[in-house]
Amino acid sequence: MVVVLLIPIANNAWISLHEWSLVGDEAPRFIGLDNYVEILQTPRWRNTLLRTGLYVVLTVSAQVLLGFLIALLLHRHFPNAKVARMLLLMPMMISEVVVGNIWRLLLNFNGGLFNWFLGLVGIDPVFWLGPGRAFWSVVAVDIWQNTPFVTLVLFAAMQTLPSELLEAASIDGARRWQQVRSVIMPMIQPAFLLVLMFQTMFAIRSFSTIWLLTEGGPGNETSLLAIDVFRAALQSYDVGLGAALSWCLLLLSLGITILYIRWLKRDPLV
Amino acid sequence: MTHSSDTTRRRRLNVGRIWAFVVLAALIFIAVFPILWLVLTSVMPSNLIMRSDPTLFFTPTLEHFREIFGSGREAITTYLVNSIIVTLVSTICAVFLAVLAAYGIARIRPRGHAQLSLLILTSRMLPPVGLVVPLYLIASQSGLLDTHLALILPYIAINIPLATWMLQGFFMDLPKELEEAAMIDGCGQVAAFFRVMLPLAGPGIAAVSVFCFVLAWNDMVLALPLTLREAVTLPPFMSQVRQEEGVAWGQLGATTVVVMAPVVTFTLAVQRWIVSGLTAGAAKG
Repeated sequence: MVVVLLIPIANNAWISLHEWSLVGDEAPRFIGLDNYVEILQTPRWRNTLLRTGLYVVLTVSAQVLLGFLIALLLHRHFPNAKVARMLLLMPMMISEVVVGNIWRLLLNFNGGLFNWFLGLVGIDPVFWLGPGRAFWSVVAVDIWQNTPFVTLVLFAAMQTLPSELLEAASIDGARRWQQVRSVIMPMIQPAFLLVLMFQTMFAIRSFSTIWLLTEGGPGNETSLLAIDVFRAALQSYDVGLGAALSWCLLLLSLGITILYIRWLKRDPLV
Repeated sequence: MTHSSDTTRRRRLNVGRIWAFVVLAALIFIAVFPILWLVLTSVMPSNLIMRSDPTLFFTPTLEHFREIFGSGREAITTYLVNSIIVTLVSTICAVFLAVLAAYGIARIRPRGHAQLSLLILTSRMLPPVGLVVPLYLIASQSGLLDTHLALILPYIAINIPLATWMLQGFFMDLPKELEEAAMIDGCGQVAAFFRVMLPLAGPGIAAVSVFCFVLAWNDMVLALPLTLREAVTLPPFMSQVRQEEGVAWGQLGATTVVVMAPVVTFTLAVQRWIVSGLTAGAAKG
């Protein structure tokens, strides 16, 4: 069964070494690593790599920070509020395509709720998915959808902490922030690393939501790696380049997985 | 003296608690309202949608659902049927194969099964986008492009690893003695598996089925390149709606609710077992 997945992936690597266009009659031509060189040298593709990096850093750091603060709020004040927790986790339960359509409704220029709200406070409507804003909008939507997962994992980790530990800390005169920093944070470090890996993996491959919202536009402003795989292979019919782009994505994901597995093996606590 | 400092502390605590409530309420609003707005849009009369003065008070209507399930131009029936066929067939096949594989791994424990689970997990971690180009080429060369099979096969392949990994955890949890007792009572190995072990693993199998269902049902990454007209499922259909002039928001909202409803229902139904399934697989992998 692993073979079923690994053969196409290997095939993908082979394709990526060819100049291979689906238009015209030209046979695929072996060009070695030229596709990869092109990705690194052409500003168009290099910007995609950088943009994907920026996207991952922005979304993951915001998700982990917000997710941690929300988990802390739940842990401290509402540890038994099951319904509240379930409601907070709603964005995580719906799929990327649904998220895409929800935000198409809200961010629409004519009659979207966001522009109506701006109107209430006397600001002119804004093209949320237009030039200069689209990137930040899709970043915000990603944070909206994926922060709940961080909250879930970190909250679960906090719940397993023995309460004596915090009591001991507060008897010793530790202030709240000190408790958080020197007791809670080190104790849930494994959970932190887990969500960090998961969120990074999923941020790198972001596709469906952005495709629904902008299709990578305006221009290339929201073109991440996964989006450009589609644009190169299925819109420009340059399958060699598309395969090379998707291999960049695979290599990044593989690198993160290996890092995580090595870290798992090193740390016996997990 | 002590008394007064006690009351100030209590007052401060109360203020903190009120703030916590306010923040929690705001967070819940942010999390839930967009979803609620989608559901509201799907039952909102057309003339009220996307107005410059939105309202929460209106008589709900099912007109959009009638349109998308009707026989007119905006019907989604074809895509819905495609989605159902592709999802059900791939889920049933993947779960069936995964049950066999997981039972084998859990019972026989072949050498290196720990490494095997690691490999399974790693392959599940790889982004499906990496499959887009080769699968597209294979599908167009073999004539499978735009058929149900073009989606069913990759969904099975993608789902089997995680399903096997989760199920082997469930099977390892079941005491071997039960099966042996059944065999002493005259069951063969196969009968013991079907009549004793399989029913016991029921909750686990339900949870795993939901996992496979959700992946196939929601997938757009493979469905977009591998379908053109005949086999288009709901997610790629929704992505095409945007290119037409003037999106019919009510119908789009209703379609999105149709896509969302089964996933949320099933996920809530098996939530408990999903968590235990993942941890069981992790602890005993």
